[in-house]
Amino acid sequence: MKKTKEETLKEHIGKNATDSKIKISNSIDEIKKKLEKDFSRCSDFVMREVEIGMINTKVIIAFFDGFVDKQILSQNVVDPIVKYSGDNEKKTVLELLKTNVISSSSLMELTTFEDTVDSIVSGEAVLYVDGESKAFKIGVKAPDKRAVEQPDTEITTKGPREGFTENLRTNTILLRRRIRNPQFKVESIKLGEETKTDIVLCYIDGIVKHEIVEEVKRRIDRIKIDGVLATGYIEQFIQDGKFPLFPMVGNSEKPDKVAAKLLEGRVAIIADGTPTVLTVPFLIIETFQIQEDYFGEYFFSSFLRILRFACFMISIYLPALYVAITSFHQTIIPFKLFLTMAAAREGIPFSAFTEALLMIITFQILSEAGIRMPRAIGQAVSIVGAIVLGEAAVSAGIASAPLVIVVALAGICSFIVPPLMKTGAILRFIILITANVLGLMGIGVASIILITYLCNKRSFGIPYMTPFSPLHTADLKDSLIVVPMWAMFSRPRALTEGQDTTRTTGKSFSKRGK
Amino acid sequence: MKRLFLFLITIGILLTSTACWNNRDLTELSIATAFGIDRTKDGKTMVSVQIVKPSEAQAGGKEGGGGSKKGFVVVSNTADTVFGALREMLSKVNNKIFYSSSQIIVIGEDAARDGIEDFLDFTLRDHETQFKQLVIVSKGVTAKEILEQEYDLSKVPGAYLRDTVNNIEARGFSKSMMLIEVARELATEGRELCMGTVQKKGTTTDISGIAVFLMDKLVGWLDPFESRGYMFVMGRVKSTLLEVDDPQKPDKQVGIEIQKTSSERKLEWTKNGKPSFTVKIKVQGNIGEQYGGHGAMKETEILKAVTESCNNKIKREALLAIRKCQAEYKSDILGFGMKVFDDTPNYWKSIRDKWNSDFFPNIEVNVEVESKILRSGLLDKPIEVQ
Repeated sequence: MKKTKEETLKEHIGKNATDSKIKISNSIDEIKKKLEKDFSRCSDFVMREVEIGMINTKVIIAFFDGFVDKQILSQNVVDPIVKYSGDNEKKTVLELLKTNVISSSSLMELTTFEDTVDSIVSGEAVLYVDGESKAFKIGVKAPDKRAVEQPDTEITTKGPREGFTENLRTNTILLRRRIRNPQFKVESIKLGEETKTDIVLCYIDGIVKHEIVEEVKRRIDRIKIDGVLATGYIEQFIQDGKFPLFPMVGNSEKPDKVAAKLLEGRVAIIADGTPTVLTVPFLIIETFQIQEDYFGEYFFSSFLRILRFACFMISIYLPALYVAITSFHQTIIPFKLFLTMAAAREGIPFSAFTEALLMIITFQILSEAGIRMPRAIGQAVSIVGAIVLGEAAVSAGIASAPLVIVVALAGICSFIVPPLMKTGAILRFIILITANVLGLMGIGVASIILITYLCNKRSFGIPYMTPFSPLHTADLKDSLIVVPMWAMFSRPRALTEGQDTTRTTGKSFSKRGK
Repeated sequence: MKRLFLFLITIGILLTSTACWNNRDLTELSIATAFGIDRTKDGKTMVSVQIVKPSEAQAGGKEGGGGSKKGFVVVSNTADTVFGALREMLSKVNNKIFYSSSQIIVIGEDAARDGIEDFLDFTLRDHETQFKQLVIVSKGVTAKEILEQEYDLSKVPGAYLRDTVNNIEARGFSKSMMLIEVARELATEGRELCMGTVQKKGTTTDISGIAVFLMDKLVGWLDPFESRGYMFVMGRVKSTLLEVDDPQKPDKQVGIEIQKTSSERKLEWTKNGKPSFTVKIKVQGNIGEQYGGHGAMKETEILKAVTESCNNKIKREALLAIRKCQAEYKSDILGFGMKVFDDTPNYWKSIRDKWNSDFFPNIEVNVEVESKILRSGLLDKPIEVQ
């Protein structure tokens, strides 16, 4: 018979199959044997056996080397125990250790052996005492080395530059420093049967809708997975729909962005070991929003929003429009442009569709190579890509110059909205194919299906197209246009329904006043 | 399952309802830039198509040496109908002819005299022909000869002709008519068709004058100045130059640059119950040039005199055009009948068939012109040569 996950796990940490939570043994020798068995062949496992100074009680301190700060451990735990010179006046050894000996600030009592093992593997030191059926968990985790840096993926020219790191505590502190409020809740969950990764849910009580928090918890509880090595693993489990063409969960590496999302009533999910933080619910309009939109000149921000939206449209529609017009609707091209295009296409052996398909695939290959290649050979790829493939294809008469322009423009435009880059690449193909089958009509059909699909989507109960469909007029202030901060009177209504939605009552400073 | 079914039905309906089925690549098209329609002596229709080679037309000497090559070919074919001739043309041309890019249709004089209704039917019925392309009549030459004309300034003769027609229309010496306008004028009651003419002059073509039609048949021509008179009556002159005598030295000229014209017509009834018309033409212009230097007159007097002669000149041209249409061609291209129709539909019904033959030639038409000369350019007087 095949063993279930749980059985394997139990066998692994040395327990019988029926009793999952066994008490900690009174005998220190038994504990020692058990630990040695559980952590056999773990060269980084350390078990330090000492006696309490005057009392002669044996204790074991168990931890993983490198995972804990050894200096703090020696100073606050080992030293005081060995050098303890008082006596044991009407106190148990445990009480004595807790109140008089160990000077570490984070200390917790554990009662089951399984808990102690969990604590050791998550980087704490555990102290077992001879003759007692309890143990201490001492928080002496060594801090991570990577500093807080600007994330490469989200570059801003203005505003905060900090980015999340791989360390969970650093990340929660980065958020806590921005939202100094006890209402900012950080709920901890452990995920991953084998990896036991720390996950936290962050939200602001009083802003977030409770149903959303409950839904996130419910979905995370459902996850049974070997390991959570990145938040992306969770993303796939909790997102709505089996085949999401569009991103359904927000990703960010910037604490200021995540903090802003929390203030709008969203829930953030942070996993230890990933600098990317997830935010839910995720709406399509968020793909066009960036932090800088809210700084300074709001009219320019609005212009950029619209530009970004237009660029996304160009990136998915332009090659298809080119193919549709040159192969079906030549009539609508202005005469002079028509001559130019006809001249450029003369002698090209492929149809416009084949040509467009080839060029788009080439572009995808170049862009993938650009991301994956080692930095040192970047120059070579861009030269080969831009000059050799583009210029040479045109002069060899394999591709026409207008098409190279069209594909290049569509490609560049797709980089302007990074969250929709992958979506755009797929849609570009689909719409191109429909355009070749039915011309502009095909593009129309594809667009209708696309819009229907989008209107049908929901993210954690919130319609994906909010605030356009369903229309929330109050939320339009931060959609394709951005109104100044002082005019954003309410938090997003769709996300904070039933809670306090007042965001600002400020006014712009004007000389005239009122 | 039900949803999938519904989805498939929706897609099915969308796909079958309407669509453009003909996916043709640009390289599979012969790009036509002009059409010519002629009547052969045995009564058949000869259709000529001007096909450009896009790379030649585009190159313009860019690729070195290509500059001297002819950028187009003219292919003609004779058959009983226009469509027939075009269809059979595929035996002479490798790719299907793409009509939509055609810029101009040239109708040969003989064909025009026989009536153009039959030719227009195809061009209007076919979904590929552009309603925006111009129509013009060739005077004294066949349409094919006009199409074969090469121009030094452009490698696309069709587009060159179109631009020239549009420019000359603004001067008032000819009339630019789009295919759709031709169809509209043909179908309009109380107004006869007229359109621009093209003729061969030396080594190039010249567009000036108007071809006058009665019903769909060509009956005669208006010379450039009569044409301008016609255009003044219609209020279609956009920018032209009127040369009038200098009031100080009658042998010298003053050029008036007309910039804005409008015209109004009023229907009146004479005592014996016949319609008569008053055409009011309003013109605004500047002094564009003045020969003859200084004189003794005051500026205001000069202005007054120039305005007066400007009025007279426009009136003379307008009346020339009107009289010629009335007396010689008996064709109401000015659309006076339309006004009668609008004002008295019942009366019109009774005279409709006799309008061009009996009524129009005899109606009284008065022309009143009101010119305004606003500016005199950068100079207020000619420079004094000393």
